[in-house]
Amino acid sequence: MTEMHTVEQLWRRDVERLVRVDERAMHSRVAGGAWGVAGTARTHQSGLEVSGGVLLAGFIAAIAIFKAGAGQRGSASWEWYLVVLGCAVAVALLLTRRRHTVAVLNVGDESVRAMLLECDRTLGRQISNWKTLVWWYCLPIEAPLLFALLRSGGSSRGLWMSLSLLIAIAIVVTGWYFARQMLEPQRRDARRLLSEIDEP
Amino acid sequence: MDERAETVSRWLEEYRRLIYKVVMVYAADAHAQEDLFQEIAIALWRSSEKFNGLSQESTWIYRVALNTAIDVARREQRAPRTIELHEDAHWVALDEPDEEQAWLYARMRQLGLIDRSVLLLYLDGNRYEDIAEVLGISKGNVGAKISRVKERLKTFLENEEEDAS
Repeated sequence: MTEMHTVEQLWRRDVERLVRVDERAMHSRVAGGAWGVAGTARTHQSGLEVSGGVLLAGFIAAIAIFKAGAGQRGSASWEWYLVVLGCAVAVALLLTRRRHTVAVLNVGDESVRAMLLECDRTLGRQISNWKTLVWWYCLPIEAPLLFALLRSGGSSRGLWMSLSLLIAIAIVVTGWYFARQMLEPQRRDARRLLSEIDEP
Repeated sequence: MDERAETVSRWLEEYRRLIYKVVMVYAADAHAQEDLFQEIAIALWRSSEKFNGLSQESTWIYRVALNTAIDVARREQRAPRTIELHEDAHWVALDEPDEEQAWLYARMRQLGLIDRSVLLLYLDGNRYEDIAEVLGISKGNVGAKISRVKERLKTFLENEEEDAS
C-alpha cells in the first residue's frame, strides 16, 4: 500500500452507501430553526466566561449592598464610579463573547487561513479583555478593600468587605486561569496552524 | 420548507460524500463524527445566507466543512467537550467505512490539521487554484504542500510495512 495511486483509488471508492441522512429529522431541525443546539453547546469554554461575568455582577452587587448597609445611600463617593465602570466592563465582556460566538459560527464564508487569522484576533481580544479586567479593574479595587477591611477590624462592615474581597479574588483567579490556561494555549495553537499554512 | 432550508438540504444531499470524508478525516470515533457532521450542517445553515454564487458551491462547502472541522479539532485538543449531545443528535447516522477505507482515514488523521485538508482536497481531484482558494494560500504554496504531504504519507506507509514485516 505504498503507492500513491492506490491511496487515490481507495479515496475515490464510492461512499454513497456510507451516509444515511434521516431526512425527516433533518427537515424538522431546519424548519424548527434549532440548528444552534450543537453550536451553542460549547459549554466548557462558555461556562468559564459566563461564570466570570456572573462573578463580576456579584461583585458589583456586593459593593452596592455593602454601601446600602453602611447607610451611604445617595452619596456620590468614588465607589459608585467604580460600580459604573464595573457595569461597563461586564457589558464589554458580554459583547465580546457575542462577537466571538458569531465569528466561530460563521466559519464558512472565508478561507481556512482567514478563519485562523480571525480566531487569533478574537482570542487576542479576549485575552486583552481579561487582563484589563484583572489588572486595571479588580486589583485596584481589591487593594483599597483589603486596606479598609484591615482598618475596620471586626466591625459589621467587615463582613461585607470580606464578601466583596472574596468575590473580587474569585474574579481575579478565574480571569487569570482562563487567560493563561485556556485562551493563551488556544492562541498559540492558532498561530502554530497559521505558520503551518504559510509554510512554503 | 423555505428557500434557505431547501438549499441547505440540497447541499447536504449533493455534497454528503464531501462532508462525510471531511468528517472521517477529522474525527476518529463515531460519537465525534456525528457531532462534527452536525456542526458542519449547522455552519452550512448559518453561512447559507451569505452564499452569493461568486464561488462554486463545492468550494464554498469545502470552506465551511474544513473551517468547521479544523476549528472543532483545534478546540477539542485543548478542551475536550464533556457534554452529552442533544437528544435529537442522532438525526444523521454515519456507517462504518470498510476496513481499507478506515485504514486510510486513520493514517490521514495522523497528519497535521492543515496537511489533512491539503491531502483531502488533492485526493478529491481539486485543481491547485481551487485548493488555494479554499485554504487562502498561493498556488505555488499548494504545490509545495502537496509534495510534502505525499512524502509524509509515504513515510507513514513505509514505516507501517516495515513494522508489519
